[in-house]
Amino acid sequence: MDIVISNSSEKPIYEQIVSQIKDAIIKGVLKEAETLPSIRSLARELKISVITTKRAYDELQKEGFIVIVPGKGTFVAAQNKDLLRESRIRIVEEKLIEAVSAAKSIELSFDELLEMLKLFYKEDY
Amino acid sequence: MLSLVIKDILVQKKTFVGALFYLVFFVFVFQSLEGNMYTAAIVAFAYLLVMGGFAYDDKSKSDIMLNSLPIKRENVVMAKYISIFAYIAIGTIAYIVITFGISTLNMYVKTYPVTLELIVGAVFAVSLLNSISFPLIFKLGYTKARVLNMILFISIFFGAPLLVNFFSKPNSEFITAVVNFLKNQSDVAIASGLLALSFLFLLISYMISVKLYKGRDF
Amino acid sequence: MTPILEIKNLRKEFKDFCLKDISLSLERGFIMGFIGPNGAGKSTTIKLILNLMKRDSGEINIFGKDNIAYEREVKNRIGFVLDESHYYEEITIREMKSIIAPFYDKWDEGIFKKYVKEFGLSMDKKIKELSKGMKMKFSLAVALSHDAELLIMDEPTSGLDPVVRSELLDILSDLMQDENKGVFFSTHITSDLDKIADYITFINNGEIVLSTAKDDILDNFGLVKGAKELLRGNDSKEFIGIQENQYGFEALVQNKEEFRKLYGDKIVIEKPTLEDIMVYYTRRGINA
Repeated sequence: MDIVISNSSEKPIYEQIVSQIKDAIIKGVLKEAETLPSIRSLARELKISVITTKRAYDELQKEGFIVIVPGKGTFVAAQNKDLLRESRIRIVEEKLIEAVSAAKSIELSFDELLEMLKLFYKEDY
Repeated sequence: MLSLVIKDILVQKKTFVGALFYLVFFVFVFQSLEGNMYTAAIVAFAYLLVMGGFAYDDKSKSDIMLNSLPIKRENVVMAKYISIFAYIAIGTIAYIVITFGISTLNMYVKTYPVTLELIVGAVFAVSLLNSISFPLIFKLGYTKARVLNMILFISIFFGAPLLVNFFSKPNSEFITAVVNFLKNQSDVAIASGLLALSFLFLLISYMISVKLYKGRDF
Repeated sequence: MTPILEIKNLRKEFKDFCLKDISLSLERGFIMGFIGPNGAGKSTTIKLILNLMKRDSGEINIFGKDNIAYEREVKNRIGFVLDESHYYEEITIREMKSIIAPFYDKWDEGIFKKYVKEFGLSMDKKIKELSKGMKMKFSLAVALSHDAELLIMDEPTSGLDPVVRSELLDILSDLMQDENKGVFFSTHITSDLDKIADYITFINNGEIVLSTAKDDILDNFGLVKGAKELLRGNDSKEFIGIQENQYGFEALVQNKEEFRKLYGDKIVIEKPTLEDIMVYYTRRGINA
C-alpha cells in the first residue's frame, strides 16, 4: 500500500489518507481482511500526528471500509460486493471514456477501436 | 546521596592534588604550631575541598540538574555536610602518610603525631567554620557568599588567637570561673564536650541551610 | 483517563514579568509542543513543573499527583532534557552517569549503553569535549534509561543543526509507539513541531494564547492576503497580526472557510505554519 501525503495541499491530511486508502480498497490493492498498520506506526512512517491517523481510520471505519479490533489490529472490512463492483464498474467507465475521447481526437474509427479492444482483451492484462 | 559526596570528589581531582601539596606545605611552614599544625592543615584542607565542591556546582549551575532528579533538597544539603567529614578523614590519612614519609626520609623538619585530641580539635574547628559559611552559601550561592566567607575565614584565623588571649587574661570573675572549671575537666570530658558542640553547631546549621535552600528558586 | 500532565491556573510573579492563569492538559500517548517567542514564559513554566521554582498559586498534577506533594515519586518517572547541559564539564560521561543513575529506581544500564552506542557517544569522553548536539544526546540517553513515562524537554534543539534535530524527532516518534508515554516539548523552532506534534500550546507574554490539537489549528487557520481596502470592513478585528505593505496586506484568521465564503476571489488564503501562527499572534500583541 502506498500513501503519499502533501503538506501544502488544501485538503486536510486525514482526508488525503482516507481517500487513498479507500481507493486502494476499491481497486483491490488492499484485499479483504488484510492488515493495516496501527495508527501509531502509520503516524511515525508518514511523520504526522497520531490524531490525524486516528481520525482517518475512524472515518474509514464509519464508512465501512475498515474494521478496528481493539487488541488485535486494523483490517480491511468485508466489502459490500455489489457496492464495490459498482465503484469498480465506474472506474472502467471512466477509462473507456478516456479511451474514446483519445481515439476521437486522432480520428480513429469505432471499428478500429473495437479491433484494438478485442486484441487487448485476449492478452493477459 | 552518597553519590553526591563522591561527585564532589570526582569533579575535583585536580584540586585534590593541590590540597595534598598544601598539607606538605603546612608541615614545613607551621613548625611553630607543633601539634596544632595538624589542626591548621586539616582546616585548610577541608575548607579548600568543601569550597571547591561548591564552586564547581556554581560554575555548572548544577543545582538545576540535581534538583530535577528525584532527590530531596534535604539530601542535597546533607551530602555537603557529610563531605566535610569525608575530607577530614581523607586529610587525616594523607597527613599521617605524609608525616610518616617525611620522618622516614629524615628531613630537617619535625613532625608531630596525630592524636585523638588533635582530631577532636580539628573536627571542632572545621565544624564551627563550616556551620557558619554553609547557610550563607545555600542561600546566596557560592560566588555571592564567597566574599562574606573570606571575611569570615580571615577573621576566625586571626581572631582565634585574640580570643584565646582574652580567655587566658580574663577581666571578669565569671569568665575566670568558667575557664577554671573547664581546665579542671578531664581530657575525655573536654573532648566529648567539643564533639557535642560540633554536632550541635552542625545540626543547627543544617536546619537553617535546609530551610534556606528549600526556599530558593533556580 | 487521567492526563499525564495537567496544569491549572498556574501563577508566578516576578519583578518585571508575570506568568498568569496557565492551564493546559496532556493525555498519555501524545506529544504536546509548547511554543512561544523568547521570554514568553516557556522555561519558567517548565521550571515550575519540575519544582525548581515555587509557584505562587495554581495546580500542577503529573500522573494525577501533585508535583510538590509527590515530588520524588513523580520525578522518578520523568525524563528531562533541559537547554543547557548543567553537567560537570570536568568529568566523563561514565562518571556523570554514575552520579545520576543511583537516584532512579528503575535505572537500566543496558538501555543506557544501547543509547550511548546508538547516539555515537563515548563513555570515557569528558563532558567539556562534547559538542552541543552530543550533550543533548547524552541528556536524552539518561532521560530514556529509567523507564520514564513523561519526557519534558526545554528547547532541546536550539543551536543544533537540522540533521540532529531530525534525529531527535525520529527518536521521539519511536518513543511514541508506546501509547502510555507523553512528551512535553518547548521550543521556538516550530518547524520541528509542524510534523510531529499532536497538540500545541502557544504562550505569549506569560499567558496561554491557545491550546488545541495541531491539526485543528493548521486546518482551520488561514493566512489571508488581499487589498488594503478590505481592512476597512467589519471583520477587520478578525484579522490577527495585520501586516501591510505597499500593495496590500497579510493577516492570520482563525476560520478560513468563513473568510473564503465572505470574500471569495478578493483574497488569497494559504495554509499557515506554526511559525506563522506564532509570528502573527506576537505581532498582534505588539500592535494591540
